[in-house]
Amino acid sequence: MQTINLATGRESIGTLGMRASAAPFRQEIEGCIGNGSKIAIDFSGKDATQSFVDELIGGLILKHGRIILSSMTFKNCSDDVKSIIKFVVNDRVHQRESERAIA
Amino acid sequence: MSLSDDAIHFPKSLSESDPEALFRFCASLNAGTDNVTLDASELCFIDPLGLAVLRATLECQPVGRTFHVRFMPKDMIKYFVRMDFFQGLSVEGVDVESGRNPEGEPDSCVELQRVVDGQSEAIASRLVQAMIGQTAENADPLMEACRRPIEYSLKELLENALSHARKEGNFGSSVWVACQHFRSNGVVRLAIVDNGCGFLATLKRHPELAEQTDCAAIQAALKERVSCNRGPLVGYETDSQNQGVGLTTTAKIAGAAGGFLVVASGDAWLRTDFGHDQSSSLIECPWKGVAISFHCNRDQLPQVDIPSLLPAVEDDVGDEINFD
Repeated sequence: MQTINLATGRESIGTLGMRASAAPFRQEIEGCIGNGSKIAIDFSGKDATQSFVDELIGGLILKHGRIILSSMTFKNCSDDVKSIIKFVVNDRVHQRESERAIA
Repeated sequence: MSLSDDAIHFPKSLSESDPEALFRFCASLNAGTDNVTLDASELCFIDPLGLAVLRATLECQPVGRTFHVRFMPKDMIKYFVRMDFFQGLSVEGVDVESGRNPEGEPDSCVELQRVVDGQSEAIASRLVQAMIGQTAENADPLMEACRRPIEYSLKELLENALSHARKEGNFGSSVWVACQHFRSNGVVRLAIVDNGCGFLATLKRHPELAEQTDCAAIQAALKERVSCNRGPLVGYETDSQNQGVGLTTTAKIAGAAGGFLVVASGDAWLRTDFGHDQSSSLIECPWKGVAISFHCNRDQLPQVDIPSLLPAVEDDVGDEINFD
């Protein structure tokens, strides 16, 4: 399993917040999963905003569906970050399923 | 330059407390193209919103236009000099050197910064740390409890400004951020100001927009899940979707910490604790872009539970998320 450490080189960052910061990680995640690999996303105890988490995984869920969750593991997340991840995942799953129902 | 009787007078205060005075003053600066004298004799207070809006206004003047400031009180000069406010501006008449503290400003709780794409994450973190007086490496638990909601809010507001301001052809727009911790009364104020397209331009086709006015656009923007780029019409490969909850969550964070947002865009502004249906007019001094002031009480920050402020959503998928 490959691990992506979100804190590497970001020691001075308290809360991961900007979509531009998350986008390269999202591309790396998508690449690994596309190759059939499983991936661990290590928050290393960092806080994160909903926007960052959404950029990291929300778009992937919209594109690929909830099946993509089976290829990911989230490590070293605070309780707040776990709650935000659950919000983003559930919100995007519901959005994808409702858009497909309309189509 | 000769002193002129046609001087433009600073009001007593440039702040979130009187947005109309702030934007009216800045509109007067934009009214002409000639050099102008600014009379600062009555100015006694400027907060982060005032700093960011004024700096944005002065930075966007025609090349060669000069402002001559006269009669600025010494304590105001020191305040402006503390954050190098006049650096890079064509402003005369302010004795910057006499305003400097030769020992530096190690306890400065006010910061102002123009944010450039690609550096926003680090800039925002640095601003918050400077404002509360700690670094990520030396985290005191109590200060951490204050830092989290502040940094969360600042970054969500900054993300909105950076992603939306340049839409509708406003490729040259910029974003300014100012932060201050008022130690005397424990108030924390953040300001995020852009000179981009504003809420109405980005939401003009949104079904939640009740009418084509700036007031209605601000009210719509403060509703959960209202966003210009959420939904099946947005191309995933070309435009990152957002969930439309950043601004609403930030408003709830401010409220949970005993505060509010002041949101101005176009010819309208409103304050979130006054009720979203109560807006005020900037019809004579509209702001091109979005200007937001975040106000809260430091002592109430540790009690803010951010996840509880996100919109409610059915947890149908929780069991499928792998946490380690």
